[in-house]
Amino acid sequence: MNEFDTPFKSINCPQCGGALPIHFAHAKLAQCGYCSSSIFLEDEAARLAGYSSVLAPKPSLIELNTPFTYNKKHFLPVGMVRYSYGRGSWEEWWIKDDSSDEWWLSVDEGDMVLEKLVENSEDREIFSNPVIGQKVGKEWLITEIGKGECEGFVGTLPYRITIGQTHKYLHLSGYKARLKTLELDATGMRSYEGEWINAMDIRKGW
Amino acid sequence: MNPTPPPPPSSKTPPTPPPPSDSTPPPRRKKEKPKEAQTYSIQCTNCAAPLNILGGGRVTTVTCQYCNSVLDMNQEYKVLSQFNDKFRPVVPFTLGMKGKIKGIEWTIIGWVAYKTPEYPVERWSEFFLYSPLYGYAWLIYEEGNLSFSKRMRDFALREWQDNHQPHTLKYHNKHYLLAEEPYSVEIEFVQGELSWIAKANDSIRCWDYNGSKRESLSIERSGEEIEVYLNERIDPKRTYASFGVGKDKQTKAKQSALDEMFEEESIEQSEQALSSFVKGTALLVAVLLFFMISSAFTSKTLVSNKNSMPFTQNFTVTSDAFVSQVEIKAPNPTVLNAMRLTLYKSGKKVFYIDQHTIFSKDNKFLSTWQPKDYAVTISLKLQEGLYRVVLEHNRKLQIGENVSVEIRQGVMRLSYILPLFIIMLIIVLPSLLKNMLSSNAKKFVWWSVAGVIAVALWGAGALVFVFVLYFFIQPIIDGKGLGGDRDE
Repeated sequence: MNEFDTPFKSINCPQCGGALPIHFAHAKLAQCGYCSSSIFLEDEAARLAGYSSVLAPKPSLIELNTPFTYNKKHFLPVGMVRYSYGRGSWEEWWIKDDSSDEWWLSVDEGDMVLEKLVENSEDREIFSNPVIGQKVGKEWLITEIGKGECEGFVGTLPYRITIGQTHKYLHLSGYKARLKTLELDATGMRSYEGEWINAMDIRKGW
Repeated sequence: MNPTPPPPPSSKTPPTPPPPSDSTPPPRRKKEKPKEAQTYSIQCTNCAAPLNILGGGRVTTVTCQYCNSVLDMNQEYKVLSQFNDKFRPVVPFTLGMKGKIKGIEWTIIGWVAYKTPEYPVERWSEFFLYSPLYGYAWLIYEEGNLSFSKRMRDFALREWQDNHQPHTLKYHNKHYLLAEEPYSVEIEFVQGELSWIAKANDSIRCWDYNGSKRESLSIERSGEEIEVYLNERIDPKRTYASFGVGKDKQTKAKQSALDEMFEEESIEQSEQALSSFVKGTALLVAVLLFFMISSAFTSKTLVSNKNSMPFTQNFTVTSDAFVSQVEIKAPNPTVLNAMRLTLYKSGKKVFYIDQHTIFSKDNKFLSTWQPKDYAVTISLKLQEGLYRVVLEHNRKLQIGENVSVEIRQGVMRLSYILPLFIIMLIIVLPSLLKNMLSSNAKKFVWWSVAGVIAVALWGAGALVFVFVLYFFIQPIIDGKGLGGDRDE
């Protein structure tokens, strides 16, 4: 284990006592890797939230706590939420890079998007009646509208989520192939900005 | 941040707690990772035939291989349309085949055959590939040629649209050139799974851009949606072997228009050549400009006389860089031919010229004096110092027969630059020949050169033959021999 893999801190699972590596100070939710318990992270305490469902194994290029390299940068996946869209599912990976910056990597059957959480610049009213091709601000165009339902999660996450929890999302396309994702759920709206990446450019390890 | 209540604690008996983390960590649970995508079977809602579903969650339709019905996978396999009575091309691949392309294992899950309405004989098939790790891609089959095609979502589509489909574009630091005018294609036949709903005679507008290394970009517009694909030619033999295509089903690749285009010249090569050409030309122009500008600054008129004759004047050469130039202009050649010019330095004659005679102390001069000229320009190397010029005539001049003389120093002559230009051209030319000419053009050039050399050699041989025949053989035939005259 090197500095990149070393967690920010480690706590013990209140259910089984297993070690829970925490890579970000603001992580809010963790799944115990041993007993599958969901644990709320509250400042210095860890509170049992219940058992998580065990996700059906799904082939993926990205694996929890297994570093990968993209575009000469190193990333470590520390958590993942799987969302269902009906016939299939996609995964949202919470990852940290070698500068300890946090990213979200969306993986949907070979299509990958690397994004960062940004401040909301759009009003949540945009979700009231969105239309494909609708212009948003000066740059963005709505290119995809959808919703996802949480199937489960692994690792640690920066927010609390429960199985069955749903959210709506909009994909906005900008210039230079930029991508913006707006998500809306019961807790509010979140905006992410980033770019599409080619799955063939992902390399495992360093 | 998140007020969502946590799920109630499970009544499931918790597993035996492992020891705390400061002692030996407990063994991690091993999750079995599937190596292949999960597949399942359905029954065709039209003909009840069993259909294997091989693709992932993004597959929306499956077309029955038996009754050609298109079933909507999002609406309980409702029959959307049928591809009955449609032309079914003969192809070497079938649904369910697995093989490796670019080191990744793909499964053929769908098949779409296309034709162009303008040229209905142009038909090709595209096989929809699926990999659980890498998603979807296409294997394109056209007259034995194979290409691998993957959708590129990071293409700057907005700019492409705003620029009204430009003729050239840059993607991932590579240049692509519009291969031909945009064209339309129609769906002719469909089988298996697709991630969209295909209908017979659906039209797709395509823009093909050719790049280097047998790569091309296809921008396809269908309805409101525009998708960009990166196509790469792949080795048919290796692909057939990987997908287990029998030798009897393999088709020998025909040279397509795309091949010819790729063979002619790649954009990168052209660009490289163009770059060399531009650099070389820019360098030559820069050198020429430098000399021209320098000439404007270095050139200085020392003597200028238009009327008085005979004429004499002292002048000082302050710089011996480059050459000095003497120019004599007369109203007609007769007057010019009557002129004689002498240069003295420190009382000693260093240069003299008239129509017939030229004298130079150091022999560094160049003159263009011809009997029928109206003017003469003499270039000569004059060292720094005080000079005296004397212009005389050996016949009486009529009124109005004015002769002018001008002496300038630091004059740049083209003959100074020309050798440099030729040397630079020799340096640049191989690079241009190497990069700018396509392989076919290179062959043509080399064959032409070889032809010219062959003709020259043949000509030289013929000349030698004629020479030998005329000077050696003919005298022998004539009975004179080489020393015939002497015998007589």
